[in-house]
Amino acid sequence: MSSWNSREAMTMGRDRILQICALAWDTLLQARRRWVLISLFILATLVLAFYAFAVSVERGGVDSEQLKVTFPFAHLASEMSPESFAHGMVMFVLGTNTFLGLFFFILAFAGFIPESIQKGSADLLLSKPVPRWLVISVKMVSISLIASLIASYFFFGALVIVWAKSGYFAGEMIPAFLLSILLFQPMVPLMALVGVASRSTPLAVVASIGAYIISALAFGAKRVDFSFTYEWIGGMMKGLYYGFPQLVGMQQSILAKVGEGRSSFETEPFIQSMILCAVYFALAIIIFQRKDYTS
Amino acid sequence: MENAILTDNTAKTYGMLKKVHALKSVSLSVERGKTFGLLGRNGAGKTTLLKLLLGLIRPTKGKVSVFGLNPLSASARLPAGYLPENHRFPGYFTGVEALKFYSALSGLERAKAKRLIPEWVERVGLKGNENRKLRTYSKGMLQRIGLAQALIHDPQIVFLDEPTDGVDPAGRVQIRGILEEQKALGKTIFINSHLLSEIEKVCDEIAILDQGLVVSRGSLSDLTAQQMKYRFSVSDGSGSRLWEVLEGKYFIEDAASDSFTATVSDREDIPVIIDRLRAASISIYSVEKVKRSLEDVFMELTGGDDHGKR
Repeated sequence: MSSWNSREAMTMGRDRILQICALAWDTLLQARRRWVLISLFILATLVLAFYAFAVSVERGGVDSEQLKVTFPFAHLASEMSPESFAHGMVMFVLGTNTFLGLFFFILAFAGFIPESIQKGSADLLLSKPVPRWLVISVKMVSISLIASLIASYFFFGALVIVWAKSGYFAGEMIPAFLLSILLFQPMVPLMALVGVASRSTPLAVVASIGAYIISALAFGAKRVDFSFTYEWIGGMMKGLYYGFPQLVGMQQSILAKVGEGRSSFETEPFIQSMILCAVYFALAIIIFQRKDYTS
Repeated sequence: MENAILTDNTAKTYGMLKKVHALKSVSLSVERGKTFGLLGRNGAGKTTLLKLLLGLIRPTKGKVSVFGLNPLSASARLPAGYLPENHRFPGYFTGVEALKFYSALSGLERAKAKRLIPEWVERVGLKGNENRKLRTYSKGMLQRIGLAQALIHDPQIVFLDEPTDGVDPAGRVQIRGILEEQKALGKTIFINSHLLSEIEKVCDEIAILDQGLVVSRGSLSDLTAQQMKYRFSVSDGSGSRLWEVLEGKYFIEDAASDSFTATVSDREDIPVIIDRLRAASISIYSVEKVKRSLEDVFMELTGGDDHGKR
């Protein structure tokens, strides 16, 4: 018993660090098993390879400072400054990251939490002396970090390739990229919330994509004044604007600031999304703490 | 002696609309260092009780404590090891990775884990297969890795739900050996099993659960010797005189020419029977209390016709 007394007396801090590392490592193995890491890296690499080899850039147009850029497939050639070229290309990466990347992110990661608490797995995991809130928090943070790592590879890869081709390093785009990372964050607790409540990967995918679509429609209803066949649908969509993370709103803010060079930056979608992110997170924790996971 | 496990009128009801009373009212205590076996038919509430003891589910009513702590708190689970029934290990782990993961969650230091993992791999008979993915393991192999993850961090109390399920006979002997070792180390062991022979061999104390209630509990000898039946071995040829000698006062069964079984209402009837036999010049070679098998007790207490496996 003496060994146990000393273990009980041991600071919980060391145990917690061990548990956090183990849970993060488990998430990484999950990503490896599900081919998430490899497939997303391959996808990003293909796009980067397209940048590197398919887009032809030559120095010296009419103006020697200009670049003569030829885009493949469209056989579109144009002359532009290195700065415009770099901005355009990096903007494309940001757009891909925020629109397509979000879909890939949901498809790839929505199953991580439900899979960990499947019948049979939950007993093994939750019988260990690890608090449930820690399990879910570490999983969520690990998912965010893995996704951010892939997005960073994509963004910084593009930045370097464009720099090599044009001679212009678009470092001013980095803050925009960091903001675009925030776009993924509300989806993590949302996927976790659906995951802990249902233990179903398909439901977590459908609910997250649904939330993305509804948030886009609600954004349209509120900001663009879409016309809906029935007025009540329009009214409902405007109401839903406040219940879903403002993914499109955040995308618009980033792209407008970077792409169109607007001086003002709209913070409302970010604040609203982060508040909802905290609400989803709290709900996911409460449900996970209280739910009976029976086999 | 200190109680390792204590439940006080513990009840668990599942479902909101269609309620299922898995445990009705269970009050149990298990002393530290004892090996306790819980028997019951399928759906009797055994696994529910075990999950309550591990904080996996919350009681609807009553109290549960393990070493005096509420198992819903993570620190109360620190001295516990658990092998669940129908467990499903993540298939992306190898045997070694699974042991690394679960031992880290149990708070086992990395250096200790590094030393103990190969030892446990060998003890549960998985040497040579430890670097294979768990999805390629057989049911018996998964059971062995499950046992290793439950014991590797040297827990003071071990909960095992059908520990030899899917394991071959040689593996069962090996697992029983490990349990005997743990018992000798003073660990408290709580086993749920359908296998009565297994419980008989390992447990100090047994409880039988039926429809969410404890219907009997005690040591194996208490449970199997609850009736007053005695087997007499007597001189050959005296069987036919029993009715006459005992004057039909006792219920006699299994009468042969040199033995019979008598059911008495009081222990004091035994010397009376002996006196009568001696008075009739019948030699008595032995008198033994007849024990029922655990299976007899189990069948009697749980209603005989069973849909469960044995």
